[in-house]
Amino acid sequence: MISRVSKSGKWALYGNKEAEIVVCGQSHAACILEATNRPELAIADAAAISVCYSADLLTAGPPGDKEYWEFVAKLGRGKHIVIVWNGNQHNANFMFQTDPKFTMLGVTDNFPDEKVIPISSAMIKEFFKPSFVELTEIVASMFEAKSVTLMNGPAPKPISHIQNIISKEKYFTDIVESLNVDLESLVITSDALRLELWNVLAGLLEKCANDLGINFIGAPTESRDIFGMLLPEYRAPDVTHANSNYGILLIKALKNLNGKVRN
Amino acid sequence: MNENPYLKQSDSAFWSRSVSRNFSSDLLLNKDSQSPLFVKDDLIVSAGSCFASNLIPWIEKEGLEYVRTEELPTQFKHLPENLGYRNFSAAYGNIYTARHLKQLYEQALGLRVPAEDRWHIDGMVIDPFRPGLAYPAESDAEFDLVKESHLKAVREAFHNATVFVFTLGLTEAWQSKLDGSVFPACPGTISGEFDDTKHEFKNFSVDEITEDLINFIELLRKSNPKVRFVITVSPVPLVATATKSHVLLASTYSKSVLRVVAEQVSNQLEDVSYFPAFEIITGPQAPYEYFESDRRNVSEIGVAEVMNSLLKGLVTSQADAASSHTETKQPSKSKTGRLISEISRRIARAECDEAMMDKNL
Repeated sequence: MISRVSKSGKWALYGNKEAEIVVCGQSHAACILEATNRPELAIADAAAISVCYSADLLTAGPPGDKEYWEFVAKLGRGKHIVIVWNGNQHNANFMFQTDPKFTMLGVTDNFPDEKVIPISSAMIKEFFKPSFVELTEIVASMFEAKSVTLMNGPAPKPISHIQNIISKEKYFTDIVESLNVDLESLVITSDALRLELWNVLAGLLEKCANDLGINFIGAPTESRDIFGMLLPEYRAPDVTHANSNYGILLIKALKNLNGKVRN
Repeated sequence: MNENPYLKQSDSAFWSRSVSRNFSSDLLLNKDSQSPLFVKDDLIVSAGSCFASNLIPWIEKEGLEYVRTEELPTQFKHLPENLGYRNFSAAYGNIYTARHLKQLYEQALGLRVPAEDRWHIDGMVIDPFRPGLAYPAESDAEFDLVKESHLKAVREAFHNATVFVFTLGLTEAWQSKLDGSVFPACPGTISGEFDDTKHEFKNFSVDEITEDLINFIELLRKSNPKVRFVITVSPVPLVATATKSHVLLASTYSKSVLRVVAEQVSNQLEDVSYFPAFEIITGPQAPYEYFESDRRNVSEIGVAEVMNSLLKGLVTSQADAASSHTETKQPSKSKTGRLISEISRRIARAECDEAMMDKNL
């Protein structure tokens, strides 16, 4: 249910306009929006949460869209704003194995004689750094909110899940096309490496939240298998996103945060 | 006129005929050498001072293969790096002394583990032998992983080379008192802390450098017996001296020593050639404009002259000599121009560990 729309009509607030929590940000926010429509969610919980997403439900709040973030800042006055920020660069930039292949400390799936270049965590962090500049500016613009919370995206999905559906996702097929190769000729980056990249990203988000004096919610432990990957019951039928089951876990985490928020 | 040995000498043996008049830097190349500098299928590795990295774009644009064993995946290539570590075949950065080169290779072979092999600074683990790396390790385990991979890349590059170009840069160095490990820069300049109980100054002699270079060449030839060497001396004067001499005197001493070493080693060992970049830039025949106004940095014109000579060295190589002179491969002038332009840009961007010793730079 749309309760507000932005000036151009591109962005909308879904849910109760009086909800004390406004969830915004990138496409991983969709699982929370879906979860608020699940019948098993307590009415009070659903009523407490609104989600700022695209009016056509196709486009999430992208970085760089001034109108979106102004809309969120206005809606979030006196409320708890939850920003779902990136958390997807490990997929967007490293879905396919690079040439030369690289590895990181903690990734243990390389063969002993395999030619791999270890990349330091510091270099990975530098790679991810640019997206945090904009986040800092966005958080500063939310100064009228009761609190701001930063939320990470879900843990990566295993190759066994990805390889069957990647050919259906335009983002990745566009990459394949731009490389002028067949999808079959590309190797999906190992689970262990994508997981480690995601761990670095999660650490950066948490540090950013600490540095900015805002709250942080990471991926719920119960959503991850013993290796750290996203469990099947929390996977949306695509390459990167989680489903409404995962959204319910996040709503629980938001409830747990209630009363412990930092302004 | 009585017979005497000079009567049999060519014009190039006479200053009046080959320097005062008719000077051409390609005449400096040893035409009698049986060892070509480069041939078409060579796999070229280089190491040395900043000046050593200048030839890389030229080599690559000429279609020769510059060995690279430690390249980053594309995603990371845009990230800024310090001091040109990745300009070279493996990411070892500038190697100013023959002792450092020899010790690097010994490390790569597992024959040497430096006593002071890492510095813990501000939560990071710094490699004393690559102290300016922009993205150092965050833990000892990560340091070990990256270092092991780096040394493997060094080994792979050195063992695959068919030509190894080494530019002798300095005689002055700082070393560990514990085991004589030579650092590329004085601890405390780029990173680390200078500790006079652990670090000491060393000004290498002709004999020491000759021995180090010969030891390195012989050690490498145990694993790579066919590798040829091209030795050059950097024409770039010292940025600073740790001796009590004036820097100009120290620089002259240093370059003189290195030039003697280059001569001795190239005369003593098979398949070791000397390429006279030093003379081209610093000889009395060299135009004033070969140096920038600071009289230290080599100008674009100077670099171009060196590279032109090296280019001519290539076309008179063994491979080309086998074919007729008229058929020798001559790069087009426009191509050469592009190469020189790229090389000039490179040198303009060049950063030097050594320069970190002078805070005014």
